[in-house]
Amino acid sequence: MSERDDELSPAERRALDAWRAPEPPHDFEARVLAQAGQSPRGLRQVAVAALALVLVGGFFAARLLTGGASTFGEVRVAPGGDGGPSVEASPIADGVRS
Amino acid sequence: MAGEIDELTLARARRGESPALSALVRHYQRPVYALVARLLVGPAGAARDDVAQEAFIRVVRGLPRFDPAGGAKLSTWILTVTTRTCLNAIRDRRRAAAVKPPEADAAPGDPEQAAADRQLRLRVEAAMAALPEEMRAVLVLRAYHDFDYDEIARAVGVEIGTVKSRLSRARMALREALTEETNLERA
Repeated sequence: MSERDDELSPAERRALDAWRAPEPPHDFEARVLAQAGQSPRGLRQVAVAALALVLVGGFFAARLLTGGASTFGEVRVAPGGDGGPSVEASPIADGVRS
Repeated sequence: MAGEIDELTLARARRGESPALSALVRHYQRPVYALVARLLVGPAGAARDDVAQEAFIRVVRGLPRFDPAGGAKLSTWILTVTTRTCLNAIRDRRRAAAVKPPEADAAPGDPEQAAADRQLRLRVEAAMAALPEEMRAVLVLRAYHDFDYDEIARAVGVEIGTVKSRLSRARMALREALTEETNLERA
C-alpha cells in the first residue's frame, strides 16, 4: 500500500474533522515553563551538593592517607628532588623499620 | 500551526533561554495538546493537562539533544516525544482507578447541526477509544499531524508494515462507526 492509497475518503475526513481537539488551557505555557525551570535547578543543586561532598570527603581521605597514616608507621613523607614532598611506603617487618 | 519556529529562536531555546523556550511552547502547544487529547480518550482524558505538560517538559529537557541538521522537523520530533509520553501514560494509568471523563465541549452554531456534529463526534471518539492505543496513535498521527509512515514507525516504535496494518484497521473501525451513523440517520 503506497501512502497515496491511504488517502481518507470525504466521509472519513468529515468524521475526523468532527472530532475537534480542545484548546490548551490559557495558563498552559506558564505552567510548562514554571515546571521546566524548577526541576533542572533542583537537580543542579543536588549535583553541586554531591560534588561538594565528594571533594570534602576526598580531602579528608587524602589527609588520612598522608598525615594521618604516618602515625601508624607505614607511610612517611620525605622531601622530593624538586623540593616537593614525596611519599614512600615502607612495610614494617617485625616492628623494625628498614 | 504555521510551520516551524525560526532557527535563531530554536538555537536560543536549545541553550535554555527563557524567552525562546516560551516562544517554543507557545508555538507548538496547540498541536501537542490536540494530540494528547485525541490519544487520551475516555477516562484517561482527565489526565490530558498533566500529560501534555509532561510531554513539553521532556521536550524542553531533550531540546539540547535535538539535532536541527538531523533531517527531522522540530514539530515531528516534538510530536514523537508527545506520542511516546501519551502511550506510556496510558499504560501506566491502565492499572489506576478510573476517573470521570471530561465533559464533551458544546459545538457552536445551528443547534440541529451542532447536535448532529456532536453525535458524529461522540461516535468517532467512541470508535477511536475502542481501538488499542497504538492503533489510535497511528491514525491520529497520520490524519491530524501529517506524519508519513516512516515518522509514525519511529514515533510508535514499530515496523512500517505494522504501521500500515494498524492504519488499515483503524480506518475500518472509523468506517464502521460511520456506517452505524448512516443507519441511524435512515432509521
